[in-house]
Amino acid sequence: MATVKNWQIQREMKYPYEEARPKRQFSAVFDTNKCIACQTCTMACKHTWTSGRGQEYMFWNNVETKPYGFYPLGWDVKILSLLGVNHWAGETYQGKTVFEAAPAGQATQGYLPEDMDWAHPNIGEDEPAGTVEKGDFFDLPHKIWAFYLPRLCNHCTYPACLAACPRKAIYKRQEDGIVLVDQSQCRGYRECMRACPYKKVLYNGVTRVSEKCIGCFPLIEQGYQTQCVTTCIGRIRLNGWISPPAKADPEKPIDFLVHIKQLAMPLYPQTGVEPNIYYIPPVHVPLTYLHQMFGPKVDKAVELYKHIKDDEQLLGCLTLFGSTNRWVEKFRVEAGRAYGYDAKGVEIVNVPLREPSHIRPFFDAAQQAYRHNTP
Amino acid sequence: MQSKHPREKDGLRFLCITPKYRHGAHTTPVDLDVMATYFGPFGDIYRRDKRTPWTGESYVDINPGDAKSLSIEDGDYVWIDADPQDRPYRGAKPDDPDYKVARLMCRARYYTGTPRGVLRMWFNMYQATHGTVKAHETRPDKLAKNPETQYQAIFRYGGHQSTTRAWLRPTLMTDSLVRKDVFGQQIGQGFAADVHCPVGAPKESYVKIAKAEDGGMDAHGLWRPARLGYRPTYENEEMKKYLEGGFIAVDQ
Repeated sequence: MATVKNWQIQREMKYPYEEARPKRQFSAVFDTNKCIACQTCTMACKHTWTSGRGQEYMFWNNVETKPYGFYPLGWDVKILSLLGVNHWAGETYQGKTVFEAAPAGQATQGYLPEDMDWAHPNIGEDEPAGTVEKGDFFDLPHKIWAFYLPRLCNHCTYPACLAACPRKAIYKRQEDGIVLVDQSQCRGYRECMRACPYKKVLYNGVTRVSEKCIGCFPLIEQGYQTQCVTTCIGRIRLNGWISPPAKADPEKPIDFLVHIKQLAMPLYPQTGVEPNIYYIPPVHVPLTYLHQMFGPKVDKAVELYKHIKDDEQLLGCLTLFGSTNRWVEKFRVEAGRAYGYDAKGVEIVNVPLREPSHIRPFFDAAQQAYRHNTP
Repeated sequence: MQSKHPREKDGLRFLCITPKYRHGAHTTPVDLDVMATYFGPFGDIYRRDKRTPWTGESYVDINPGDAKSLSIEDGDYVWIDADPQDRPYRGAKPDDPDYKVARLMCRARYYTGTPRGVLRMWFNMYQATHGTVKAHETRPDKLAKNPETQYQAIFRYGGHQSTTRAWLRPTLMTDSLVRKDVFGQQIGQGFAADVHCPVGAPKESYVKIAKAEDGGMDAHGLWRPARLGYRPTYENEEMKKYLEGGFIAVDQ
């Protein structure tokens, strides 16, 4: 066991291998406030990567309604239960990570889902916590609430799947931090499935080996964002590189959102794997539930999001979501426009923070006619 | 309310609404097996419970309090019947071979967002036909797919329109109204089914609902997710704690 640094829980922790951060780390930010669970990302991923035999039940990317949606059934309830009470002192996690809570002889604390747990991928859709009573109305946070959680492999800095593999068949790429299962090395022991707290490694019963999200690396290598990101009709997603906090660069959009503004949070940071998909928390959900899911910094993020219209830099950065299929290395906001640049510093996109609008006058003097806008 | 619905004495006491489905228009939500799997909570691409007509199936949302008062569990199959005077069709008799093709059966989902006294079911779905019912009852895999036409139903029996009907109001001017044809730019006049009948459009009906079969695998016991405590009103201790955010303690 090595001792490594995990900035998300603000302390050192035990991990089977030495700290070896990649040159660049694949990442994304998802704005949960804008997700409507249309499942376009899910289907885009499905049709791109998992249309083969043995992959029928697989959704490398899925969107589940929280709190009653799960894929697989009960996954986060079970992981949280296995970790016990997740105690934080300020921003430092005092509880046990999946590595520290591991039973003797195992690399991590986890569980192997049963086949039937994967059966109903859209269970709980739109189902709120609480029951509608007569006279109910909405306030913030909502008394009756639900939100949509888009999920895929977190391409973790300290992958539990990699830690647990007895054949060292799982590796993390130096060039982009993408975590892959070597299909020729894997023998389908499913130790990775047991270990992954997010249950994002899946077993293929036909090839008899495990597989997972590959971060659309053939696209990444060409300077494009992933399928699930570019097909998102709600424009809730943005890919980018994430740096450790000490090297945060305010010109990199993901660094800006995660480190500088601290608007986007990791999913269940208490697992200790340092997941690299970040979420802007839903503003209408009770904070106790959000603490449990995104950690103790969520309060400030919720407040910041409510006033986002007053922050031109932040608004500009969010406007770049869904504005290009290219990988945005750096961005800049100036005079009401947001600009995105590729790795060579060449401008690849520029968008207005506010869409131009024009209201046609009721009376058209040129034609001497009244113009009705019939709704 | 001062008045009572005349059919209330026969057990009809739910307003059944069939609004548009959130994921698409027409039949797009159920045109592909993978999309049918994502159609609501009962989808299963491997059809482990052979009663499931396809890789997903239609369902009705019900307030858990209403369901419990009728001994309907989450995931159970239910029968839904409207006014027997003319539903599922005029002159229907239970021993008539057409009856089970037309009478609505589906799974019930506990949906806490549904007010008491209301049932919700999506439309845009392939209803049962004589061919799909025959296939469902005779094929070893029970798939509700007509072998001759390849038509695939997402209901075992009946459909979302089993309980509804169209009334043509006098103001629709079915003899004289000049109106556009359904396709193209041609102008026509008088009655046209797709213009005058609200076929397929959201409609309401007054119904009764009754349990048909257990939701558990092959009609035994509770549907698995409810049995394991991950469904509304069936929550296990861990799930209750999770809903309250009880797994975390933060000292500021």
